[in-house]
Amino acid sequence: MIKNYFKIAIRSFVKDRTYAIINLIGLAISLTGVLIILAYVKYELSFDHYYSHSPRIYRIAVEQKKDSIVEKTLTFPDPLAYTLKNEFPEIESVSKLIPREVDFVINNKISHVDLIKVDSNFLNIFDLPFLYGDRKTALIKKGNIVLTESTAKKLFPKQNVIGKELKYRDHQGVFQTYIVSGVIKDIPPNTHFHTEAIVSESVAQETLNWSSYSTTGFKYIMLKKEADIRALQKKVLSIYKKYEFPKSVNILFQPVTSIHLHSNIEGEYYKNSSIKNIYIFSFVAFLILFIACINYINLTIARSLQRVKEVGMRKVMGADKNQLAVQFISESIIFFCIALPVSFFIAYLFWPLFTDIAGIKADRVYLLNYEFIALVILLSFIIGILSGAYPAFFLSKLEPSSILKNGQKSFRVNLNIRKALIVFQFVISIALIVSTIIVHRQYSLLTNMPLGFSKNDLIILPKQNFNGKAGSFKNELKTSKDILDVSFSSWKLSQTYAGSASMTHPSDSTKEWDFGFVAADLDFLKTLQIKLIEGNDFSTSPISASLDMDSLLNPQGKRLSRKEFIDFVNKRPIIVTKSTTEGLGLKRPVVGQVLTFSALQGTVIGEIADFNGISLLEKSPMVVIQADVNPDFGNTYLRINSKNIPQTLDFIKKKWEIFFPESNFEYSFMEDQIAELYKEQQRLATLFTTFAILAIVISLMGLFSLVALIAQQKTKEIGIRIVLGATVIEIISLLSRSFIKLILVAFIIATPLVLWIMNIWLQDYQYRISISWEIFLITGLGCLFFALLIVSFQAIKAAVANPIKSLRTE
Amino acid sequence: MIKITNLEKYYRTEEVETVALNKLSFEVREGEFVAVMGPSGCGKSTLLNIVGLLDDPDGGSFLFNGEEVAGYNERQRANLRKHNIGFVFQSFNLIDELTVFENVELPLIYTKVNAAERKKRVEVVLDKMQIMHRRNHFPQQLSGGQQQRVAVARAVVNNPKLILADEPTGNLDSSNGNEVMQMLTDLNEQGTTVIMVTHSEHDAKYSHRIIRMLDGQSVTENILV
Repeated sequence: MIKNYFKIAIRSFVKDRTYAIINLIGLAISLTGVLIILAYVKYELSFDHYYSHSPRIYRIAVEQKKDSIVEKTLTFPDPLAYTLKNEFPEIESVSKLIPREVDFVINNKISHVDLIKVDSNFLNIFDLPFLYGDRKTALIKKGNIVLTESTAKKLFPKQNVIGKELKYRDHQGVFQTYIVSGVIKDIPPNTHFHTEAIVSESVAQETLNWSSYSTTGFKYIMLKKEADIRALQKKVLSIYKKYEFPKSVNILFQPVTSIHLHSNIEGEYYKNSSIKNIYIFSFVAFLILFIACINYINLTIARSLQRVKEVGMRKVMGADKNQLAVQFISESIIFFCIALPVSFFIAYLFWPLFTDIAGIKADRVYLLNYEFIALVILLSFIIGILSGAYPAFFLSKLEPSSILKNGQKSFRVNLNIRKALIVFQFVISIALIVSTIIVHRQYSLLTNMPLGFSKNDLIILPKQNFNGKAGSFKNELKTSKDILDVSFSSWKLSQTYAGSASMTHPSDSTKEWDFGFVAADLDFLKTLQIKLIEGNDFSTSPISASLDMDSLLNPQGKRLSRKEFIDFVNKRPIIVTKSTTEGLGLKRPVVGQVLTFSALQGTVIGEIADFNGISLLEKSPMVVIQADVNPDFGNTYLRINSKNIPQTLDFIKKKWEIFFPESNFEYSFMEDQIAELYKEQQRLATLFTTFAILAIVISLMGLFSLVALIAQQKTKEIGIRIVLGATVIEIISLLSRSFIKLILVAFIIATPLVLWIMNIWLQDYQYRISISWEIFLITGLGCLFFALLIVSFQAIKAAVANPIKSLRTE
Repeated sequence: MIKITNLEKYYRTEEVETVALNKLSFEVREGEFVAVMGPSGCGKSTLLNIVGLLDDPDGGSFLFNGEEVAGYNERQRANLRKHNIGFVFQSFNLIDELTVFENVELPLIYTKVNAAERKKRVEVVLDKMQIMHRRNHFPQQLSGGQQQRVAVARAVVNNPKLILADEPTGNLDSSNGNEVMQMLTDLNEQGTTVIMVTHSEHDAKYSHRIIRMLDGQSVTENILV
């Protein structure tokens, strides 16, 4: 029986090959999209399942209530983790992880290595597999270092690395040595931390003290096998009093496996992904699959018009409803089973491209493993059954006597359901396209928003200890005619300002004032091309001459008295942004005012329009630029001529190597740094575009074959109309009228839906676009245009066919 | 074998009710060859559908082998039909996607005959109908006469007790038509009951008895043999 179904399924595909192939391609493309998204989701969900104790490992975080806002932070006293271990026997082990960067000097060459400093427990918790050396002893001795496989190969090609020495300069410039004690496998990309090497650092035994503490890195605990984290979470409350926890503080245990998708705390190892993206893309996968299923159902119903006779005959032969339903459902499963390997193949080909776009480092293992394949096959079966169910139900219900009497004429398709499916398909397509445009516009807003300074032709050299050579370095750089201006500053474009302070609003205790400080030398405004709206720049201000911080703070080696110090900071010249002036409610003119707030002191010498020096995803504090005439330490900003950039870079590199031979020369462009801040948004935009295009292509393919079938069924009608004098335009309008109506309905449904969802999405942004009506207009007209194009193509084909032929075949 | 008493069938649209069968009564005994004749629209095909258990009557009684089947549901009718009745249609109604062999095999699949037995029985009947050499061809590749022979083969492969033929020669030329009529006669002589709807007086002469219908009623019965 099944053999018979299979045969007839294959033969009817072959007979209607055009539709079958379109159907199959559409299905294969959408299954490809679904496969890729599923593999992506699987990869994102796989983070930190790598260690054998994963379910028992937790990272410690702290919850802090500030003005009714609960803030999570990784900042808490270092001894907290060890105190927890001492207090609660259910904690088996505790460890810390401090990310660091080191420049090793091997054969007079510098090799930059990202490493983590850990204590000796670390490898008991995170049991990273060793290739050489012994996990238990590798990190016990201070000064030992464990390298990852590829780092070992990078530092010591073709050599046995165990016992090798690695030299580096500490912050005082003195050479220190690590000895290689082990090699581990490379840490897989799906972990929340990443490193090339591990060194051990002993733990100072201190008592937990919240009033004054130091804090570095991340802390982890591992529970005993039988312990329950919820019980521990309740139990920790008992030590709050003993160790005098601040009132608003609460300890959190983050399962290590949920850090990647659920934790987005300031100071993460690197920016984590978000579970929201997983939901969004799973939903998109579902939609794409749904569109493909609708295509399948619509085309099957349309095609079944040609199979009415078969159904009738089978019934006459004694087939009952169920047997017929089984036949059509198995046909649908067969169809999905043919599409599946095709889509696996396409997905396999496109996986590297996708991972590149998505910015993930997942290899094809996520696409090709038994578990995943089994899941997808099961899924295809279920979808095959669901898609086949409606046509099957529909066909098996036909009355054999009327089919045999009247042939196809007796067969009336319930068009309302088909129409509803088409409307739904276009709702999805329109919604995806509009969302894509909105995501793009939001991204473009973030990258193009005026920041208060000119981002073009601005080079940044990373933070450097100038060792008193800042001035001469600057003068040397300025000898090039292509370097227009040079400035040093503590500020670096990032998530936060390097210096910040906050205080309660003096007259409203429910509000908080947050300040972001930029310490900069006198050429800062000029170099960054920041526009003054009032007052003076540091370099032109009459008081700037006496601004050497060091000499003022420490004149002739004498310490300032408290009063002298306060006088000094109050005199310190500052430049404020317009929003700072407004935020503080300062009276105009602001220039000349002496500010003596607890978190902000200084004399205002100028006001600038705006300065956005952090990611626009973050809430901007009130920005204050402080003068720092002779900085010891900072980033170098160079405004260069847009011509001769390679030569200019070469020039800067030469000067750098003369002045700071111990440090690698690195540089970046401001525009790239800005783009880097919104990489996640860019990724999202690209992925959205990809899947929206996929969705609309599949929808249009479905429409194409559906219109073709309808045109075929109306051949006789079209023939008669042509004979009676209808024009091609009239035929087009005959065929397209109903589709245009459907798209309009879809448009009306999609619009409020997208408005609602995308407004929720935009809420996450501090600066957001407003959704304008022309986005909808463009999308609606676009859909209409493509739909009309497809309908017209088929209509013209039908209209120019010789009517005599179509009328004779009946 | 078949006893019909006061059989009624109506077709309703929103506005009109058409009477297709109006208290029709007749009887067909086992082994008979009966022809049903009458003008278009007199209810012949409706009658054939009801007798063939493809449709149910709106009133009256229908005894099939002494069993009242008028109230049967679809599943019961399908079950009775597939074991007892073979159909031959004017337009052959072969399934285009199946070969000659597969078309003839189909009724056996639905009566759950195993594959080896199916092969044997299909081959026997194809041989008998002299169409064996075309077993792997598709219907479109055959002439009308050949297609109807396949249809007859399909109708008899299950050894039905009753064959219903709806204008079996309507789409055939006279020589092919005669051939098909001869086949039906042969089958009847071997014991199969045949009921045939026809417009052709020539074909009707092959039967034992003619039932003439008008407006859903039988008006005369001519005994030919």
